[in-house]
Amino acid sequence: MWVFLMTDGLTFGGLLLAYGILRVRNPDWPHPSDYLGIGLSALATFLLICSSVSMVIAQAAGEARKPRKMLNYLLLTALGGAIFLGIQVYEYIHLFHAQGMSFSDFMHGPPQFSSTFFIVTGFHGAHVFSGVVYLLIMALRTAAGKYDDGNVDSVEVAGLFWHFVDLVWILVFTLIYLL
Amino acid sequence: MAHASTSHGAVLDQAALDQAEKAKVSKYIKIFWALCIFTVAEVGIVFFEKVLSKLVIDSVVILFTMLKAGFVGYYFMHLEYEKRWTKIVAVLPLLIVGFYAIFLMPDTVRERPISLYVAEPARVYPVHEEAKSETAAAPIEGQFFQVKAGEASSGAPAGAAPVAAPVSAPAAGSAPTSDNPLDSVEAWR
Repeated sequence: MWVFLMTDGLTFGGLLLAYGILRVRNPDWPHPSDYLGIGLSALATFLLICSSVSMVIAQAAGEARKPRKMLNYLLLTALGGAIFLGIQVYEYIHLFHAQGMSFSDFMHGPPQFSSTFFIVTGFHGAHVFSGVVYLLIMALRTAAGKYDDGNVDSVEVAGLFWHFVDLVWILVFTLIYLL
Repeated sequence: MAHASTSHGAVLDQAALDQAEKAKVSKYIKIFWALCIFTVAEVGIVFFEKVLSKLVIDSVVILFTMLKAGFVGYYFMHLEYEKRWTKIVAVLPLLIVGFYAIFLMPDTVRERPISLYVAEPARVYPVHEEAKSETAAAPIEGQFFQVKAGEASSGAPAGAAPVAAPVSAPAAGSAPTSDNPLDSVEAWR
């Protein structure tokens, strides 16, 4: 999983570098907070941090041979990811209609502002989606009694992916929304 | 995954397991508060753009972000218990992307976007501007002489001169009329 995360991190790194160069070289780049909602995405950030915490609590419960508690916290984690996706869908629709942003064009500035935003957050959203599916599969396996003996290594591997998604969002939130 | 060995393998009673879980969870809650505080501080400082300079705000925000990413990686992803090679694999993308960013720095300078790549042909244009007018109908010896004469000013090695002349002759025809190399940079963009 670590090796996969390394390659995935490089992919995100490439996308963010492309974003950075397009932005720095474009004098007309708008101030992100004028068009992107910081409050909503800060809430989404908080949500992902919470879901990361519930993930580690789930793993600690599994190690203490409490599969029932681990199942609950896994479902809570997946719920956090699902709400994050819901917020993102709402945000996209809002940006389409209220701010004139489409995948390839932007009404009030350079089109790269729009396309880099959507490709970076969209690629991350795809990770959140696959993470939620991954967590639900782990929850099903927990419910089936596969981790009753306290050996939760595969849950930890799922957790690694989930924390990575959280970590990337921490970076994306700063680079895309705050700077 | 090394720390998971406490929960299986050795015979442990439930009380000890509960104790270990409690200790972990209390640590995780501490990290959670740290992450929350840094997030609030990050978002809060952005609204002080009237008071603080953009450089200060951005530096603080990036510092806090790196700390948060470090917390998630070190404690939540259990890098603190991992072997050295796993730590190396974890920081490798950061290093690679960091080096890549440094190498791309010249491209991010708006005033002088591309220097090395375009300046090179721009420097040899004057030689071939001369060559074009005379060597178009001139015999081989004349062309050879012409290039050797230009070589003194451009400082090119003697062996490269006969090769360079025919190859870049078509380029000379489409070269910008101005002597200023920066004009050709603008045309290229």
